Amino acid sequence: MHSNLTIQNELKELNSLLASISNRNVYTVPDGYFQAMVTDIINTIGREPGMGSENPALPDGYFEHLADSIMGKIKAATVTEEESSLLMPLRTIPTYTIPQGYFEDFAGSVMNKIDSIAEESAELLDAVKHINPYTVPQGYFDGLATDIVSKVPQQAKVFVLQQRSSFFRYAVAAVITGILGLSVISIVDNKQEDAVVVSPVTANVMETATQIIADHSFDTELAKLSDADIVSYLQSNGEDVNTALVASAAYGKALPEEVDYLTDDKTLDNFLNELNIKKDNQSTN
Amino acid sequence: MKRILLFIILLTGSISFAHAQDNEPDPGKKVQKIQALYVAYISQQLNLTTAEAEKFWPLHNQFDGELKTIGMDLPELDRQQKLLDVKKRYQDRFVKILGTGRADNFFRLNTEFNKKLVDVMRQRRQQNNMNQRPLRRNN
Repeated sequence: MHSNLTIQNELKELNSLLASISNRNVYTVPDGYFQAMVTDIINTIGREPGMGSENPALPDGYFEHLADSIMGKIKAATVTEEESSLLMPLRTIPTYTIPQGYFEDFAGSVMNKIDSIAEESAELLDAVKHINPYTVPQGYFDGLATDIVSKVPQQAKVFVLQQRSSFFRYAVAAVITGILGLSVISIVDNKQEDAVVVSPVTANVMETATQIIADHSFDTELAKLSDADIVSYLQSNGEDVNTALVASAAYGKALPEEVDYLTDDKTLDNFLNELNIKKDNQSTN
Repeated sequence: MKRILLFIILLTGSISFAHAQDNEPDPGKKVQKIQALYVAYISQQLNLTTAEAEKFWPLHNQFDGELKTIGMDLPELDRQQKLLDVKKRYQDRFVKILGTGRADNFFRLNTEFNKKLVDVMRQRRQQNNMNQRPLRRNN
């Protein structure tokens, strides 16, 4: 809508008459024009002289004798024998002839002609030898620029469409570049972290390990680890954490006892719940 | 105006996204901590001398790297077989550095360390659950 208005304004500047014509379809037909059209046309044809309202019929057997009649007309138009006897001798007479000995002194006559023309024009050419034919009236270029400018019709005011578009385009480009840049940085960062995980024993790790040995702090550091860290470490080492949890319970003699199964048939479920096995199953598988 | 507003929303969105990225804890560091514990554990249990450690840990890096190339998506027994293949292949080289007895011990301690981690996790979970339902079980 906005750009339509702009175009309308510019049109007004260019040609106010065109702009004043309302936005209406001028090609209209009277009501019911097409309904009566077919019968109208047929009636008009019927009124033409020599034409019936029905298709004009061909005479009987028209096409049967058509070829014969055409051939008969062609034959009637051919030259009679009398005419041909007159034309025959003309065939041997050449139409385009030249006088006898025409080419013998042809070159000489051409050269003579050229010489005579050169002699005639020599005087004329001598006279104009030093005259420059390309001259302009005095002061011709002085007023030329202003003359041209004054003759050019004044341009209509130009309405620019979507003035803010270039700013917006730059803004979008900046945002996209920013997002791309950030994602590239985050991908590179992730790769670096992966690299740390893959090469296990670095100088940093050795230093921390030495510190732990010196402080005898193995058990306290072990207790500080979060479940999530342990799980991610074990998984990176190819351990099945859930199986390991159950195995750990068996090893640590933390399994339910036989009597428990007899007193409560949900003992196994409760035991697995305690280890959060079900929850892990959902989150890891 | 709408476009400028959209631009501002996108800009602030991307900035906060970047901040969220920054604030996430570094998982590499956490894993490094556990690895340090592992190194400390193995070094102590095997009584590694400095000279032995200098040879042992580079070989261990290579060994560990190869174990990690084995995909988790393999059928379980195939995966276990491949892990075992790698371990067998490295056995001689560990024996050269540690001798037969301690090399054998090293493979056992690997499992032992993982078991220690799982124990920490298991005990914590059972403890938590007992705290939530103190009357249910005393085990």
